[in-house]
Amino acid sequence: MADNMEEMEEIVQDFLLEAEELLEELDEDLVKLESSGDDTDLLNKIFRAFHTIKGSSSFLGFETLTHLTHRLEDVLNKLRKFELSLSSELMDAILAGVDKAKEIIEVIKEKGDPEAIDVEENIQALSKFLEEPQEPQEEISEEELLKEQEEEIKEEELLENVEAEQEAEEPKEEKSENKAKKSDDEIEAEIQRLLAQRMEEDRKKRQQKKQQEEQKQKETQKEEDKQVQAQQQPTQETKPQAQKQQTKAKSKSKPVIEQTIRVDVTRLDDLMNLVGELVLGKNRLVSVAQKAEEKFEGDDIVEELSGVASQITLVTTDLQMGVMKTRMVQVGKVFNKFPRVVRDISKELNKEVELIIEGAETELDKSVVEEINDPLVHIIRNAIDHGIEPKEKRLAAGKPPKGKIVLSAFHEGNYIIIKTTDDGGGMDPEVLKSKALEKGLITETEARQMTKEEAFGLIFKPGFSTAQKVSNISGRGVGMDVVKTNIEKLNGTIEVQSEINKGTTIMLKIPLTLAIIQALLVKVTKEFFAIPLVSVVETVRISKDDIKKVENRDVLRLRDSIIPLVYLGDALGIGKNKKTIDSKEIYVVVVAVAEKKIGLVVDKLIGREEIVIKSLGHYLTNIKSISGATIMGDGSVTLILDIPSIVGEAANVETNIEDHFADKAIEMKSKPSCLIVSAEDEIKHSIGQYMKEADFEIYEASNDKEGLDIASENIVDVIFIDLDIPINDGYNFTRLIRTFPSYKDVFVVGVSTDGTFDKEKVSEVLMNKIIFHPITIKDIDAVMEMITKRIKVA
Amino acid sequence: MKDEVDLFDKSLAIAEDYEEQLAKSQRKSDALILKDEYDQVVGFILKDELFGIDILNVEEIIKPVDFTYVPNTKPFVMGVINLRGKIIPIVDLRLKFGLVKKPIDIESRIIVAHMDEYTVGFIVDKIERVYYIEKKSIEPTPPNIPQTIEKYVRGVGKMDNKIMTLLNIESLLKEGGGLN
Repeated sequence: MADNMEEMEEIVQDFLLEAEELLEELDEDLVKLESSGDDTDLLNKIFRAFHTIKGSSSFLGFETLTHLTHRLEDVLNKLRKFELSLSSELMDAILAGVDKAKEIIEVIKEKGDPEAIDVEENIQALSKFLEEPQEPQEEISEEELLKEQEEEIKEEELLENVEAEQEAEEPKEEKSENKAKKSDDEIEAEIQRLLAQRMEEDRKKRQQKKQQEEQKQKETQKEEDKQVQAQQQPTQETKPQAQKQQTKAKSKSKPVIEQTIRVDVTRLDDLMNLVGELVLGKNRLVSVAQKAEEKFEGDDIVEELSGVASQITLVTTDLQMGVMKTRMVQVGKVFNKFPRVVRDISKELNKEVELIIEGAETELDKSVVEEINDPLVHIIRNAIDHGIEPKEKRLAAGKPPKGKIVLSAFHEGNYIIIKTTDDGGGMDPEVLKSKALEKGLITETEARQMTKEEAFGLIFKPGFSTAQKVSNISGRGVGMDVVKTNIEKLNGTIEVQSEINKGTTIMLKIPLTLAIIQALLVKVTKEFFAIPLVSVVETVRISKDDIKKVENRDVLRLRDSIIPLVYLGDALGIGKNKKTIDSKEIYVVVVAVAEKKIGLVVDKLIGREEIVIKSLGHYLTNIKSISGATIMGDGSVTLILDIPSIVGEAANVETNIEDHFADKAIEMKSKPSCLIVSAEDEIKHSIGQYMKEADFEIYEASNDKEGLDIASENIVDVIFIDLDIPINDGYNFTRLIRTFPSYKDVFVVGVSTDGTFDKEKVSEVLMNKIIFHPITIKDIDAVMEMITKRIKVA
Repeated sequence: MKDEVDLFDKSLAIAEDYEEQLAKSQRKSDALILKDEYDQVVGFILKDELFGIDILNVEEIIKPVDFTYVPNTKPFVMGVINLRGKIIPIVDLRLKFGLVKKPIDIESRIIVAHMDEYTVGFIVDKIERVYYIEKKSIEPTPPNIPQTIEKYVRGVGKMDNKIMTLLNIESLLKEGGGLN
């Protein structure tokens, strides 16, 4: 019984999927039909779609849907036989019917009661166009259909005969079973079996139909071709159309075996994770191979290892691309809904608008596609409502009466650009400013200082609307700010270009996938962070003299604009007392969120990298200023900054860049200092004692992290580092400390507790000397001799 | 590597001699029966005190690795680590329980514990071993346990010559580590 329920469920699911797809196509086709007029093939296609839905829904017992689609089918049948002519009102009625059908499908999907939906209004609206009552109409239509497709009938009859035979047989069986057991379950099972059988047969029939249609179309095409040749009139229209249909039919008839499978997205995510892991492993393999090559040059095995490494690299890259591609879908999935949207809105607003779609085949990640639908609807609505002028105004301005909106998509690097361009009235920055002033969204000074681009950015402010009248489409001041937040959520940006009387272009730049982005890696104190490249405007290197004070806040004059500066360490709350900026080389990352720009001061720019975004998990959710994390080639974790939140909070951050200059620490120093980093108290104690005698200030740390923190708060003259220091050993400590601007050539002494050290690593990380435990005064003297020249005291 | 605690090491996890002894004393030869009456608990030390986490919640035990500090988190969140491609937050249990901070040393370990979709690594002073604790010997939390710890304790397990504070992993994990 449970099995049967499941089977039934599956059948219903299949039906829902099919119906949804058909209805979506119908939207597109109907709008096309309205513009192309009497296209017989298109009419037939639409008719067949309704017919299919009607058939399946009646067989599954969705009566309301059957009733509705039946009527729609009738209307279409009249249309395709030219007994009716297509009017705008009729199209409205049909589209309303399609909408209702979608609604019913939705209710079925959500396990609601599909019969509860009232379709009477739609039925009546449609019936107006049918003079005759619907019952005989249906039969006629069926007959007509059969006449038209004579070959098909035979097949169908054949199948029906078989079916009838089976049906004739089976009730007997049922009866006998009934008598024997009277088990309800079994009856149910039998019914299910029959249902499944019929479903299968329906499917077969449909396939045969398709094949025949294809043949027919081929024939008609040939005929047409002949006609064309005979008449010597190259009607350019028919030929490509016919060809298109042929290819379409071909591609449709081919997949007798299913060519696609539906896969749970989480499975793909898991795959993506594993590929990420593989990439890390590959990176390690490559670096090992390189090291081996340096060490044992010329060895056969090493060469083989390098060969293997490069092959693995190649395969991994392909695999990564492959897995990413499985998640890609065409943007047309969203775009194809827009002809309908444009039609409805323009009709409601009594404007004539033509929509041109370009680049519908551009691919991007499935999750991104799902997110861009709503923003695009808002943008298109706005374009029709505010952008495109009424007919009279357009004619007066010397434009064609029909407005034009171009919706296009194309790739640019790792981004997809989605552009909507209208040829409407454009936006006047001054009008925008005065409107924003009126609503109290900006102050007068702000308005005066605003550039044209910043003024356009005002349309994304919550509560902003320039519409004189509030319609139910736009003018309520919600929408464009939602667009902005939605696009930012995708790590995307919006750009607005507009020219008065020429039109407006809104450009969305969105990363192709949510999983992999380009980022700029920066270093602040001892930490590394990734800034999504999409929010980075530029990076500049300045010196301390370029920093100016305005109202006691640091700003940078960059060409024509004044940019507020914030030390990233302070913005993240990790900068307190840290003195790690080199005042001669200050790096500023200029980031922008919508119209707002700020300069983030960092210690160092590391470089640009493609990173895989990972979540911080359930334990750490909604962490301020952090949007996620990524794993670097060496296996370490780097956090990804949430730039919109940092920019939003920037005004509240207490920051004084001067406080973080390394020179400042040296200025404050009265005597030479040393840092001893070791987990062993004995080592700390013995070195400390000797250094104290040499009149050094002593700082002690028990692990590398502590050591790095102390080193960034106080610039010391010599560091003693235990080679076995937890967590990450002394070599890595030294490698990291060398990246601090004020520690490029500070004397670092490695302390070996077990009498051993790695000579290569010592020279690689630029460790100056190695001493051994137990430490003697002689060791310290030797160190002192080498460092006296370097000591910096103000 | 002798200080590495390997949960797959049979000698450690099942403590065969101990089990045998138990089996003998109770005339039970089947280890499966043991499961019903005994909790298997990973014992660890935090400031000289023995604590335990149910072995079913322990994913693995690792040596401290370099972690990345996460700004705007509660003070006891040390940062995050990469555990075979998964990002795992690391919590210093000493800080969480309001004990004196102790720097990470050679004996420090991270217990990666999980429950539902929550996974967290806890830094502890030292791992002892896996203990069998008779279910009926687990007593409710005594009143003298400090308030900072109380809500994370599910009971106290009594053994021959030791007592162990058993942690309530759910309350530890689901509290979250972000600053609001």
